[in-house]
Amino acid sequence: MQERVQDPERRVQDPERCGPVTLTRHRKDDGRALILYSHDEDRTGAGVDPSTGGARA
Amino acid sequence: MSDRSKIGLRFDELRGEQVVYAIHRQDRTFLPARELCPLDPTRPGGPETEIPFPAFQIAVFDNRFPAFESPGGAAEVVVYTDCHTGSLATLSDERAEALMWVWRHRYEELGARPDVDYVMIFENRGVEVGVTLHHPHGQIYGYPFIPPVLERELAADERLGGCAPCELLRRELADGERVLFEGERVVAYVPYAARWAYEAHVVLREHRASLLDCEPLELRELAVALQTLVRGYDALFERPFPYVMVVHQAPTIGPRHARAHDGHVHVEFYPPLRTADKLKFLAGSEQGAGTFISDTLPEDTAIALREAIARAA
Repeated sequence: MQERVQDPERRVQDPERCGPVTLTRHRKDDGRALILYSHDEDRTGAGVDPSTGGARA
Repeated sequence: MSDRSKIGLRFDELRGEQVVYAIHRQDRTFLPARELCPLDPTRPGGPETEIPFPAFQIAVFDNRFPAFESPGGAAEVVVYTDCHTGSLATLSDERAEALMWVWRHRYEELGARPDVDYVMIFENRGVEVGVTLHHPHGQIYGYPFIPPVLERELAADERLGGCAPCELLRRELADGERVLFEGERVVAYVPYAARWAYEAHVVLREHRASLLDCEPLELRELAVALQTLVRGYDALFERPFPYVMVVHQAPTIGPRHARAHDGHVHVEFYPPLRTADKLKFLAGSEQGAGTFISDTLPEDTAIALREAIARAA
């Protein structure tokens, strides 16, 4: 079983930058850290599952 | 054995190296059904996963089944994409470059921790090397000690009178027979003393102790080189090519300025295949004596890899 974050929009800090990458920090319910990274120029949509309609977190 | 704590280190006096005990890993997720992949995004109405968002680009999180954890190191999972299929080779150029920055960020952040002496970024690909999840991803271990391979690299610096990867790169370029491709900033070659048939090293031309010292264009070209090599690997036998990929950098113990000569960014690939359907096993000599016995010559496998890389281009 995987733990579910009850409030996935809860963010520990505001977005940070690392070169061309933006990161946002989250905390899972069991206390483990989760960081989401996004790239400004990820234009091609690679990695986007069509079933999501290209939505991004 | 009396200490049954979750994670523990024991020093093997006979071999002079640490052994990590993480007995909870015996129960880690093992090749789940496609619809139960824990590295997929969590979609509305779908199963709960490690990433509670309907989509993402790159995600990093603490391993649920860590080999190391604070205050005795770190273990993280790096998910390259929210798409279940694909590989490092199939990421867009931009995503692959972003991954280099993610690696850089994790090296910096984990390396700043007092309980992390060495940050090792790696990827296991294929069931042949023990992969338990097929979703494109890698891992990062923050070791609370200097592991033996890094100790040997530091010893090589001493033996060669300077940065060993710099010297070995110079030799490979002078010889040229095993070079796979050359970029302005990055070179790939099968090393002179390759242990694995299709072992390859991807090396920064300039001396860079860690990804923190790399210029943006170097990170970009490193991403291109890694993808070029993996695409060539996949073309070699026309199948997804299993490997262990490890990013080698300076240790993170002590002040950064003191580590400037204790590393040189390069990425080593250890593929277990020696033919399309035969694996190299670590058997008597490799395990009992620590001496690899290879069935192939690096010069020959370099020719085959160059041709495969050309086919994949």
